[in-house]
Amino acid sequence: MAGTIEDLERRLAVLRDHFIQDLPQRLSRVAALKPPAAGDWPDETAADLRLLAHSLKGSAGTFGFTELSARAARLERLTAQALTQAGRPSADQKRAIGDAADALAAGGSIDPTAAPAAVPRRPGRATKTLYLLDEDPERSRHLVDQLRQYGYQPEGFATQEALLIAVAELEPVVVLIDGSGEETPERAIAAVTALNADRNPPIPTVLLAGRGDIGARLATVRAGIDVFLPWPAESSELIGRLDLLATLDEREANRVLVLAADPIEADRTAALLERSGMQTRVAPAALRILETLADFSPDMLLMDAALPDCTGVELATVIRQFPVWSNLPVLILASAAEVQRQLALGGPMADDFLAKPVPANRLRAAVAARAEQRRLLRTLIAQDPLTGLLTHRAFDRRIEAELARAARMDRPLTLAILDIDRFRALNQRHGYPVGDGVLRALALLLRRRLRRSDLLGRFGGDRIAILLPETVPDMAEELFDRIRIAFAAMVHGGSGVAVSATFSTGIAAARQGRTAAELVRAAELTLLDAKKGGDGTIRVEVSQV
Amino acid sequence: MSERFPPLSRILYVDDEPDIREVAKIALEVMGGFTVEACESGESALAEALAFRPDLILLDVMMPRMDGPETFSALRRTPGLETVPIVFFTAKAQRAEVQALLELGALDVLAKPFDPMSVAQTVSEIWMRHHGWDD
Repeated sequence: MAGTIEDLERRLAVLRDHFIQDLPQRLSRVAALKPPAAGDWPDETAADLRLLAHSLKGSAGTFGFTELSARAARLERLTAQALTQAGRPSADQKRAIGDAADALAAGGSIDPTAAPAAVPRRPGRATKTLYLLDEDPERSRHLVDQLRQYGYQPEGFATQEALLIAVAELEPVVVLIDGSGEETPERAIAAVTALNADRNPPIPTVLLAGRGDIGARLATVRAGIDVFLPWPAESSELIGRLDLLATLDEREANRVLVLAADPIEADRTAALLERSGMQTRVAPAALRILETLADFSPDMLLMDAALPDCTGVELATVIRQFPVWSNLPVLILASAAEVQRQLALGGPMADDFLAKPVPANRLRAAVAARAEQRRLLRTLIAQDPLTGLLTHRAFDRRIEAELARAARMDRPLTLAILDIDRFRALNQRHGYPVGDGVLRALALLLRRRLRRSDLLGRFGGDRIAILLPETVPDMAEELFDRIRIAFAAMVHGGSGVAVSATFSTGIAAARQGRTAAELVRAAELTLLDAKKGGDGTIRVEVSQV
Repeated sequence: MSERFPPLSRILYVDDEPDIREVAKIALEVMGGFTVEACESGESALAEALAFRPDLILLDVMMPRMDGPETFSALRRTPGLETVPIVFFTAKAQRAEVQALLELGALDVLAKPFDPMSVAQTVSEIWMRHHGWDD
């Protein structure tokens, strides 16, 4: 007789506990079998390590410990490679295997409550694993180093075959192909075709292209390559594109407000849109639409042409009279006759009409396309185009709200302002494109190292402000010290230029009664003070209680 | 409901990895209601298959000593086991390898790690397809 899911879950949980209990012992065996710092590493030991890694990969994956499984997969692959090649493993290979073994052994402190018993497995995404196909070892090593600076786990492959084997074991979050040494993208297209044939969803791909003409671009679009980037270019530009692809499935859902004459129909439409991943709200009544808009802040409005109190067109006109909603996409569902009538009126068609009944997939597509447009526009307005951080104005609006929240809840809130040391000299010496690249690199690094709840804004020039909720100044100082070290180690610039840069930081805390302007002023003064201390100085405002 | 094909009831699961063996056995028994025997090597699979007479054998590809494909050939050469359907499990779900395993005569190739919640369903579907039911 077939049992229940609960029964299976209970029994799996017991097995999982056993796995966790045995894990330290197995990991210490990994450490014992890895290549020694000096001396011989017999094939039998390597074979044992390979089997152990294989077995850990499988069990960890089965029990939902994706990170651990990914680390074991890497160790298995490196070891298998060393075993199957003709000669003895090189010193470099042994070091790489040793590193992979250490990384696996260090993963032993897993939280037994964290992982579910059975999960869809995308460990490559979680670990930001990135594969690079590059036949030039020099370029490959250089790119791998750069990508690592930005928090990716990059791994280079010289051949398509080696890449495909690695992908079969662990799907990366993105595959990057260096075709910059080639006239045509044919090899890259062949690789992507082999990579993504029968794969759904496909792995996002980026091509660094040697030539950027329209013919090459068209060919890569047809092959399904997501990003075409003429190379060499700024590495920060590459990272920006990679980050977009890597976070595709983390983006917020589109928000759709639904208003229908019949409440049951409204609910049904909302449910249909929710099923395809959108977030919806059903508006209670046409005459209260303004409150609902302010409260829900939708990306688009979907409504009936005929409503109890007014028509959809009238309501859309009213909504557009308010500047904040003047470009809210509105989609009106109307009878076929009504759609004809509107077309015949021939006036400026601010709104889109769909004739009822609308097939579900058509409605989903129409709504998604319009909501997406609005969201893009919204981010473009609030974001500084160079760095992707909030604009000064957008930051100012948010800082007020955060201050009020911190005061109300009596929680700490810290503001840091930083700027790049001797930025003007850097621009003058190497040109503005290099300076822009440095600024963008800093913005990217900050976005990676900070939490989602932290606010980042560009205050013009090379000045960046960061608002850190739930953070006291000492914590912020530690945090920025780590970021300072990482940033100083980065190398910027593209073709022929290699520069490094530092930044200085001023930190100030929110206090009862302190306004936003006062807080910003305090952080700026502290930054000025830091600047006197030399490159890379971090200062915390001396509190005057 | 009319029986359009022989029911799947007895499954032999072969895998050197004890954790996964246990998970597979429990998952197939609990969710699929199958009678499952599990063994840890290709060598033991031969003896077990003769004694247990499974309807279907699930075979891990990578095992020490006698691997999945070798076990497959040995089973095929054993009188009484020449035609028992065999499905492979592999962690290297690369197309070339899958193709090679299918050409060997495997019924299907499944990826490891598998989802314990759905593996029984997947195996049932393979069984139904094998018997010409593909609705």
